[in-house]
Amino acid sequence: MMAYGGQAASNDNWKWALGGAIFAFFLTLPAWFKEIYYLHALVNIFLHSMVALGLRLLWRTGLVSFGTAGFIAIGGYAAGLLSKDMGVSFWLSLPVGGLAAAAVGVLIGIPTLRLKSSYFFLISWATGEIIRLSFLYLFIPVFGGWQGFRKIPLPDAINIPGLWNIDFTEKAHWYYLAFFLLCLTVVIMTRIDNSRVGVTVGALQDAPDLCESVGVPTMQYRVFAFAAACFFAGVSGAVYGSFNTFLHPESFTIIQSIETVSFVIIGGSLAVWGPILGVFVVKGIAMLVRGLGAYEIIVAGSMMILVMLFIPEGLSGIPRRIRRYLNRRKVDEQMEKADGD
Amino acid sequence: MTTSLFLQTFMNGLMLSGLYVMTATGLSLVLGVLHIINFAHGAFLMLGAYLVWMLVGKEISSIESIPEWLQHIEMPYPLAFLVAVVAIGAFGALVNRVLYQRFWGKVLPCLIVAVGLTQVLQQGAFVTFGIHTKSVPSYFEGLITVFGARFPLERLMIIVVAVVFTTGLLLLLRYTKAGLAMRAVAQDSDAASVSGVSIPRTATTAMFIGCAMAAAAAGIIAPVFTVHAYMAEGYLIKAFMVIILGGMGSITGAIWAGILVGFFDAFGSVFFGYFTQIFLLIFVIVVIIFKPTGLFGGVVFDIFTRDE
Repeated sequence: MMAYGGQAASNDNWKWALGGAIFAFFLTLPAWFKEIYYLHALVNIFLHSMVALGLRLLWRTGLVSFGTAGFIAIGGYAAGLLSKDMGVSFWLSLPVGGLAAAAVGVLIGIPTLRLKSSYFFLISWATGEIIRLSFLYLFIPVFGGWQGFRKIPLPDAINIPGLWNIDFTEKAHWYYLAFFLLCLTVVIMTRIDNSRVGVTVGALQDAPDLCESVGVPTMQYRVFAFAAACFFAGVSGAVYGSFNTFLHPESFTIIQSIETVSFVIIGGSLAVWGPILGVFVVKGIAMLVRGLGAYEIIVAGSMMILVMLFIPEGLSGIPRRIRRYLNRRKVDEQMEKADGD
Repeated sequence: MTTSLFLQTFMNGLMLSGLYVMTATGLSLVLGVLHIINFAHGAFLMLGAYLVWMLVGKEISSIESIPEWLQHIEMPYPLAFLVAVVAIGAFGALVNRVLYQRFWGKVLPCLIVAVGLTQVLQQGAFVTFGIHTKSVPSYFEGLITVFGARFPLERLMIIVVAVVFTTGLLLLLRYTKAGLAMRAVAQDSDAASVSGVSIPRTATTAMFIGCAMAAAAAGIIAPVFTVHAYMAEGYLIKAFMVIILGGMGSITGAIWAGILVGFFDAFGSVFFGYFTQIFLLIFVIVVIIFKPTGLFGGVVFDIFTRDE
């Protein structure tokens, strides 16, 4: 018993050390590595990771959304509209963008989430399409239609004299903004996972029918998960819009929605770091191998198939599999020894 | 609305109905028999169109990545159409055997696999054939003029092929043993397998027919519209709308709903222009919320089981 406890503690130490090392690596990265191409790609990776983390919560409740790109667009357009046409500060329009996406998500979710998951995939797809077409054909003087939504202002500078002057003209500033938001998302998601809600969501993932039969209000958890997924999509859209100073409805099609789903599938949804791993695997390969461009989707698609065939819990489930295999071997050896005695 | 415009729109509606019915019945059959959502249905359609284009082969030599022997094939269009229908059907059956079958009854994992397959096939076609759209030379030339409304013969052929294939599917389901097996599995797979119906074989047959229907739709639109890697996205979402409106897994429902959506599309684009799609999508969501079993009864294969 003692030995087991000690082993668990050392395991945890090891995890903290690895997490801290990764955190330190990415925190100091722009200081010693100044290639703009990689910093730009990493900003996108961090934004995608935020979206994927939200989708992970949704996937755990047994749902898959094919309309995430639409909610990213809502966040981007809402925040862009506030900061461009109404002069609201970026730091206020950032959460407002997220809340706008979450509000639309709740409006769609409440009447539709009590249906089977096979219906929800269609509803989310249709919703994403409606949002995209609305930005394309409605309120053209405001949203720009086919011209796209242009000239989204940069965030207001954070100026602490003598120490910092972050005015978002350099990629490193964006890098830190996206990194900070991702870390915040990770902290929030870890808190959710360790809370009662997270435990229930985990139970929903493992045994949905059992949960239903013991009276877990599945629908409330699904609405919550969908709202959270939409919120993080909206926030990342708000940053994305200001980062590119330009938004076009055609960058929010079903292909983008499917891509965000593929991160969760490939990375796996058991651990918080799963979807982030998924983003780094798919987007990281594309970042490192320049000119891969067109093949990125093929890689993501085939990895989705392979993961579903061989490791349904995703790449983040590999350590657990290895641990279980080793444990089983240990048990087998002990059994053999016992037999020998 | 003048007579000629009305006639023109009406014929357009018929044509679109035919296309939607052909794609949606295939999808609906697979959904009903295999109990999976075949998201890759659109990708099969796109492959069918490319196959027809390759077999007819007039401008094919410009693509280097196609093997030499394929470049020399030049078939008459009707033969190419039939070959594509059979080949894509066989490919669908193969996909069922290799990928889908192990996910029997698991909707979400199978959906994810189908999505991955769609990505691989569509982007694979994009990488292989390039960004430029292809066109198959038209085979049925001519123009029919009725009350001032002009209608090309090749568009009329879409209606003819749709009617032939849909009737064929209905007859097959009604009168053959394989059709009986498919209806049985769709209704109650456990009872069917207890009665000696081989579920894997029935599923493979259903997948063959479903994908062949998609390939038929692709083959007949290839000379009319352009062929490109992401051509099927519009048809796929329409097919899903149709099977929602018609009731998941119901063939007759899919036929009526396909006609409804086709005419709404044709007349809507005259009256509302771009907003037609938005209206249609909102309508589908409303139907899902208030009547998830579809507008047309919602009993799976209802017309077939009623009098037996």
